[in-house]
Amino acid sequence: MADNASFFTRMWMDFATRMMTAGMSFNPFSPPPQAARQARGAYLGAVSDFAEQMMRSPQFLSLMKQGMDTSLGARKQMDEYMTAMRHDTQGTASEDIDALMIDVRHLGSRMSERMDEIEGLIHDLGRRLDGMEGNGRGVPHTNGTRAGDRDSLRTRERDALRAERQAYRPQEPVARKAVKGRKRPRKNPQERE
Amino acid sequence: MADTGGATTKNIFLEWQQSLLDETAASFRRWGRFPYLWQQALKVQKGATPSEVVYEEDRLKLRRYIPRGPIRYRTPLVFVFALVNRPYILDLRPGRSVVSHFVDRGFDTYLIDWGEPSRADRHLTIDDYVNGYLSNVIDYVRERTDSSQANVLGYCMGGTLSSMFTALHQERVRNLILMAAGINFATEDGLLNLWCEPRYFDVDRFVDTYGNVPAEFLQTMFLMLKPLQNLVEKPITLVERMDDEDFVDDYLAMEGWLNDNIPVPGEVFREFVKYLYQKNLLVKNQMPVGRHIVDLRDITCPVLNLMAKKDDLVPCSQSLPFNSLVSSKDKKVMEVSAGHIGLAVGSKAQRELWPQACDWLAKRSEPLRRRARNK
Repeated sequence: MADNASFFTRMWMDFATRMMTAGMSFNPFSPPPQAARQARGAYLGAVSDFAEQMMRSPQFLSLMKQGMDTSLGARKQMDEYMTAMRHDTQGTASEDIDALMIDVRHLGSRMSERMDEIEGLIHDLGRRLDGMEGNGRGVPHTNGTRAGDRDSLRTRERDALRAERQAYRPQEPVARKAVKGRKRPRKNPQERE
Repeated sequence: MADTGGATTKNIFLEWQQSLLDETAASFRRWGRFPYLWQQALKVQKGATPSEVVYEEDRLKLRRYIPRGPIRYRTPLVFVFALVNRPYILDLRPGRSVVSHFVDRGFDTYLIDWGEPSRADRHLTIDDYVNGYLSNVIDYVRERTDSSQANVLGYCMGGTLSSMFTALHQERVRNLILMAAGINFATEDGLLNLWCEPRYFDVDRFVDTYGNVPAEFLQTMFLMLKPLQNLVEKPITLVERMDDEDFVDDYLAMEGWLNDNIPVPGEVFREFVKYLYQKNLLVKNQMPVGRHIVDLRDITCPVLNLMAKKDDLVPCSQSLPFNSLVSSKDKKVMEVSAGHIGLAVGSKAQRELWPQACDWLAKRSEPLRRRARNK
């Protein structure tokens, strides 16, 4: 309590000093409207600084938090009441829609992750194929290759692919474009012509 | 001596009398215009540069500004505005337009209008905006202009989003310009930083209760940053200059924009307050955006950081550290003595800052060598 009192006393003293200083700087040669503007400027400047200090004070911040908590509490209570009322009448409350929206978003993100994995796999396969073509090995089932060799070759490649897949981490952020889909851009009328 | 003193006193008295008469006449003249203020407000034109919507996705609209002359640079310029308020402040009125500076200099200029989020958008996150919408827009613009990269200019919260995008997709950005962008939130110069402290503001409870952040809440917060200036000084200035038609037009356009607030998606607000205002993760290179972590050191392109010295929303101390956090070698800071909005539409910024910013970008953009592309 004493802190609050000293805080406000200090601020008011500062305010009064500034107003007195502004009054003492009054010049009788300046026309009254101009002098009035100067006095008003000094007054508003002092009040503005006072407001700034006050809004930074713990007292104001606590008061603001208290006000917000009360407002949020009232709003929440109202929402709960409305939800209960709608549920009682077999209706759909906004809470249900929000829950549905969250489910859809989770579904979307799971799909996105799965598609990223598939993209990684395709990327790996493409790289493997390019590598094989580059080495001149071609596809494994060439004429003259014994069945056992072929199987062991496939096994080796499958193992290598698996190892690579495990090591694979997308280096580049993947845009959501693939999942969200891009709407067909509107054509420029001038281009259409 | 006495005569001289008497004459002086008489002169002063006459001057006082004259000034009072002048002031009274001026007051009548000003108040005489008051009944027409409403009509003038209805006539105020918003937007200086003709534009067309070239891309849409959900509520987002991408505007392309129609050039008055030939396009001179291959690299397109994309303006990224904040999710708070509407983006037409960047092209407010003739002589108060940031966009027109770049359009007139021959840049193929685009502006992202995020649109007004509905209740269904409350779950959109920063990831949706940065790696979703913004990424799609940049890709579309690159395809459209046949350019491998784009120049990005982000204003306020749009600057923060642009810096995240550039850090995650550096290969797609040629030059980055930030306008009053919040980067380092561990400063108490701005009142918002103080108000957002976890002990005073429970963002989780707020978003869980309200969903999207109401436009009125944001408007009140912004007004409270400078209550005397916003609620007392500005109306007084309007009354005093009501006979100046250009001033009144500017005032009405500006006030119209300031009161044209839109809600912010709840999850974006939650992430912004929690990760930036409360934990300051962007500066620590720990900012999560979806499955990625933003590391500002990944930014290597030329950077121009524009700041307003009297900005009460994003003080210079919030924007300035950006240049020391990126790996770019070509980086510059420009300051202007203006407020947060004055940085865009203020006379001084229009006269001095924006021509210099255009020069800076022009030097770092690839000129278009083939015949003028003016689709």
